[in-house]
Amino acid sequence: MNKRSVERKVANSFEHAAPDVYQTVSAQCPARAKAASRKNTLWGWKFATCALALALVVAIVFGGVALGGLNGQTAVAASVTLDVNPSVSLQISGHRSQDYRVVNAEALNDDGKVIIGSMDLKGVQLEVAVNALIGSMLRNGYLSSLTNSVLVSVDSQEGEYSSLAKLVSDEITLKLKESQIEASVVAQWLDETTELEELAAKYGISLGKAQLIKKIIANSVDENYTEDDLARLTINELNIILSGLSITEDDLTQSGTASAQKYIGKDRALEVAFSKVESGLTQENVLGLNAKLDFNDGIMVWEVEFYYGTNEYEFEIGAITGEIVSFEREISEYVPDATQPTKTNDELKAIALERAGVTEVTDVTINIEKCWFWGAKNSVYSVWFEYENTYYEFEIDVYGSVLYSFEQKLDVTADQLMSRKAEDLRAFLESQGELSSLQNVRNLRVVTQMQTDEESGESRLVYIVTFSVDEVKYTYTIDPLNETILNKSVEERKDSIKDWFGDKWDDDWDEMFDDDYDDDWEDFFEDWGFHFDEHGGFGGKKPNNQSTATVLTEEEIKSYLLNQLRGQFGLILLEDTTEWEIELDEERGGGVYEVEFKWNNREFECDVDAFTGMLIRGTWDYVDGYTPEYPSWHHAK
Amino acid sequence: MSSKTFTKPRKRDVDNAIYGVAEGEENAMRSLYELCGSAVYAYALTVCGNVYDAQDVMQDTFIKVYNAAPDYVSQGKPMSWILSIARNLCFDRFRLQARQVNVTDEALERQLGSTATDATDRLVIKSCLLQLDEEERAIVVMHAVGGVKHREIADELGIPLNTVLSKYRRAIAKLKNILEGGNNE
Repeated sequence: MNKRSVERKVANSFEHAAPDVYQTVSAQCPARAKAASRKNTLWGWKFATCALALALVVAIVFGGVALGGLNGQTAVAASVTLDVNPSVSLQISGHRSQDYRVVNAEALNDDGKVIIGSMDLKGVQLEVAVNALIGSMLRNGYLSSLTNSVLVSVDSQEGEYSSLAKLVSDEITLKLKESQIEASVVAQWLDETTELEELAAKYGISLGKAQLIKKIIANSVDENYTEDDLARLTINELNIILSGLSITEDDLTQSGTASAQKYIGKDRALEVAFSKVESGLTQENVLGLNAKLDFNDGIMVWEVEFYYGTNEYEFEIGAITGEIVSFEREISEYVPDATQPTKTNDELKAIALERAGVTEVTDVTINIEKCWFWGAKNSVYSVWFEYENTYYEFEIDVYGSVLYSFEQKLDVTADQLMSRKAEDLRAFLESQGELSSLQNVRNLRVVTQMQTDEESGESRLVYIVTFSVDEVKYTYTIDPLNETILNKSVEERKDSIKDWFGDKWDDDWDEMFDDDYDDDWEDFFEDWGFHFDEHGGFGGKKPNNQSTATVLTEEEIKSYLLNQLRGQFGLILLEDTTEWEIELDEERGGGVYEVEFKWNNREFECDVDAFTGMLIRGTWDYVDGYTPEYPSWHHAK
Repeated sequence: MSSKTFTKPRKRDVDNAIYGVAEGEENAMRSLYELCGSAVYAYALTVCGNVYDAQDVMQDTFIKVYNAAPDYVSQGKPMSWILSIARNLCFDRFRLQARQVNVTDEALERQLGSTATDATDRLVIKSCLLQLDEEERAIVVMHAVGGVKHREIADELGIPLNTVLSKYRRAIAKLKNILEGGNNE
């Protein structure tokens, strides 16, 4: 019997033994006035598929289509609604194996009437009708490089949805391309409910727009979007908001990028935010930068978030005015360290040249890049240069220790290699379609290596690029001469953690991870005092290469420790703590502080890494004589 | 309750059920009861130590949840929330009755007989109540029956996470030993 089956036994036994008190309970819980019913999922059409005849009648009645018009074709009726601001709905007949044809075109608002004008679209092929309508929207100025978004809502049977959506989206994209406009099409499968109809009627909007609004609200629990706010927005604005959410659903797709030309650019927004925090602050100095256009409190804003020093900043900047709408600062849980030592470029150069054994250097370009690593206190510098046909590369930590070195005679000049700056490599990977968004890339590290080709036996220079996105670590091998990706590997963070544990990793751990942390590795790291290493992978209990480091002061130790305990105890204020005892443990090489303190009737005993402030292990107990209130009963012996 | 195999309730389902109850959705109360009933009962039983109190607490807990549901704001810990309601109700009973409870094998065997017809079920429950200490019991029931994460349990009971983990491991080992016939006390 393993642990799982014991667990199941326990659960089942209580399940079987529990009395049925539901009747009593429900008798005392009278039915509440029912709020509007929630949105059904796809049952409407599933049901329709089962009862095609009935569905057909319903669809036809709804769409006002005459049966005779179908003329014995594979009888499927559907509707496609185009929303920009003009809304036009097309009732269509046909099947994906044949042509779709328009049975009826209907303007859903006044702008829609302008668009249809005197066009008679009945009997016309769907592509042709879409082409004509989009053309009219362009001529009338509803679509332009400033507003390039079209919402396509398809009400059809399940099997028809994707072909209809694709056909219409492609046609729109093509038509706008003719006018040198990159289209952004949002396509969705319409699921009519009374709730949607009510919302559409309330604001005089199409069912499609109503559904998009509902979807945005449902997928952005942290935002305070209201139907009232969103109903007033244009499709382009809704599209911008949608891009900021990560919705993965088969029946909602987004192509192209919603135009933001009306608004101040991202660079300007960052400038505004940075200058508020500290003059001269740039992207290079901050961590975890994230900027997106969003809608808040009735206006479009740039939402800018980043970490700087020990603080987390959150800005909202008016996307049209460029003024700060709101500004928040709070102490970061990650504590990227602002007080960590730094090395000047001259110092770094000196270290690198000494290591390379190069003494007199003129005319050598030495590249220096600082890489921040989230979750660990340290950042490192990457230093590289070419000297007398030899390429040198070093990684140097903030204490001046060399973490990685590489030296290779080149038969090409370094100019012939692609740029190895982190930012350029990120852009390269994006251009290769490997990264859809750079926003979540963290802990990016680049090193150059010689690699031997297994088949030819020849060795060649490669860049190894590693980074993490969420909980997954990516490794790319890039040929810098031909600018091609040679190899790519993807590793779940759990795998690297398992590796680190080795034999110590048992079923209990495995289960605890799955049960307790799901994908929430940040929490795990916080709870257990682990950290990410400089490669973006699992770093174990503490960073190495600390030999030349100086130990932290007692005040620093206190602040780091209390921050790390937040995950478990919430905010612990230094002034609420008492009786600190902090001693450097000489027996353990002077690298560990033994720390004791009291807080809130508890006594803490912790070991803290003297160089990083990382909690290595800790225990706590209630102070003598204090018993928390907990009722107790005694076993009869 | 039903005799189908038990699966740990999922947070999202519990959250949805609570919201459903708040919004007056049909069947929401029934789903909430089915999702959480045995966890509430198990928890109440381990705290109160007798079937009658546990049954009352179970009933009162759901009524309280029903009343509190309109104000419920999910913090991602719906089961902890419900069990904390159950715990407070248990404590209230203790305060009201101002008594110490003696729990004996015989008493439990008699009390459980009406609902738990299977001897193994009774053995498991009795073992949880008689062989595990207070914290172990709470941890086992919250995690194994309620699906509450160890981390949340640590917050809820105010004990360190590693203590929760080691206690849980120890408790499961004890139960395993008992179920395999090692110790039938």
